[in-house]
Amino acid sequence: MTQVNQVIEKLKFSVAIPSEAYGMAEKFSRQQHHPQKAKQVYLNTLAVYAGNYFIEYLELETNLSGSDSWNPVMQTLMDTADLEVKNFGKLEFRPVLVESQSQVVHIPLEVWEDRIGYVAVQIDRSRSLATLLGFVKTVVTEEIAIDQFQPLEDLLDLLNPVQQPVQLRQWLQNIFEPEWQAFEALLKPELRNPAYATRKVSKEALIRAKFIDLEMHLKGQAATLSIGLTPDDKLMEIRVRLHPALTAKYLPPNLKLALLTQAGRVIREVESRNQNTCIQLEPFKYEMGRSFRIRVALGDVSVMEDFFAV
Amino acid sequence: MDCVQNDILDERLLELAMKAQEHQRGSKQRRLALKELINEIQRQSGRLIRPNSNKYPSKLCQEIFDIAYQRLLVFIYHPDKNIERYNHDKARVIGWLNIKLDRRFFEEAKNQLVSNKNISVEDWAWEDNQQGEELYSILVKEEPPCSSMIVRQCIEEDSEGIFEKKHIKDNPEATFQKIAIKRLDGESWQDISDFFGIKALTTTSTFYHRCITKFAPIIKQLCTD
Repeated sequence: MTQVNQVIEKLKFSVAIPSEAYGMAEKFSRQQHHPQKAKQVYLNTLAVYAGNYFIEYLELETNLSGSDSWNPVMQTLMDTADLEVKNFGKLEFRPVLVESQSQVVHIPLEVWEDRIGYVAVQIDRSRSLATLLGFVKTVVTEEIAIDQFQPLEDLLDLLNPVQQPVQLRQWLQNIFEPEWQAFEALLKPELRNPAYATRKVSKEALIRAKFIDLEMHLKGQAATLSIGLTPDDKLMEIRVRLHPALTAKYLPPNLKLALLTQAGRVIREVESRNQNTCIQLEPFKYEMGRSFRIRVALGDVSVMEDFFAV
Repeated sequence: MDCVQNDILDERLLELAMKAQEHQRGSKQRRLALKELINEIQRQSGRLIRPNSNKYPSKLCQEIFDIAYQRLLVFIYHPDKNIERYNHDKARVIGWLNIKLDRRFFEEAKNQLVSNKNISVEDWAWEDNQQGEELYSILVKEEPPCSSMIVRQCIEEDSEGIFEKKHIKDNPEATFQKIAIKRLDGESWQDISDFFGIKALTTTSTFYHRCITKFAPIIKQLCTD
């Protein structure tokens, strides 16, 4: 009989504390003449270190050295454990020792402003682990019990901005999402078939293309997805193609391109063979106000793009 | 192994994974569906593989699993496009998760734990009591002035005359200089506010925070001179 865990736990994230982190914490704490303050700086440094590791793990950029928590003058002036996350703002990583009786996180008044949120970081020195346990967006008291924190998913939600489906109508007004670039920008000149590279020659009103990354952790498998639009009365004619990406001459074989309904039902699909320079779906007409989905798949990896043909 | 039981468990995971995939990226529904999937994975965590004790030091296996498991769950949730990498034609959900553990997360966890150096607990005995306080003094050295002393000195001297000029509205005694020195000496916001007759603690702390933000460049400058 398989063992099944009955208790549903909140998401946690543990970071090993390496010697370099202890070194930094020690170095910073020696800049303080009050023992209590020295301890505060020591633990704050470890907590921020763990926070920085976590944010970078999520593939976001931080400005650690520019954060107040990493500056001895600012450490002196405030009880701060901030970390600047680029494009988001400052997160505060507050430490609590695993052996402390109260399991209460202290969030001093001076950091109640200018923060996008607060993370509870439990530090276990005997195991050299710092565990991110919870998150709150705002605080109204200086002492918060760990179990009062929201799950870490809330922090992930904050850092995972909502993605809208691609707005095709706006394309006709020359408003494009940043990942959808001019076709010419993404395809090597010698590979471009002049027949569909320029607006004047091709039938399409416009073509935009996007780089599709099929394997985040293994390099090399990528493609360029292009969408060509031609408005036709109340309908939009759409041509979807896949081209090689980067410096590749051909598409990988067995690459599948599919048109799906929003619910995920496959309407049409094509597959690349050896040495294809392009594969395309039969052009289709879409009604304004409907949505559709394009799927690019290779082996067991698939990437989907949602479109809203308003 | 009860095959029927496994089928039911597999069915649950498959249903939830596909539900998540159906909803659009970035949508609330997808996030909710992913949360449900994570809950189900947690319920079925006993079915996940454990680190191979031939490959990893056996005393670390539990820790490796714990860390890898955490990271697997984060992977499922964030970014929410990760779930699109699951292809139901190719594998059962549990199989896909096990592959991720085996090929990626166990290694990651092992690297975390192995690079780790355990500092012996005796070195830093943090006790939240009076006795413990003395032990912290190991950190305090009677050497060339440390940053905190330099900062304190800089604020006391107020060579530019700016720190004593800035004060809380309608309370000329409550200057940034005085508040800062008290804070640097470890006084609580309550005590500081009481001293100056300020009712709301946040008045004091907000004033202080805003001054710090404004004066930080100057203070840093003065301290490095």
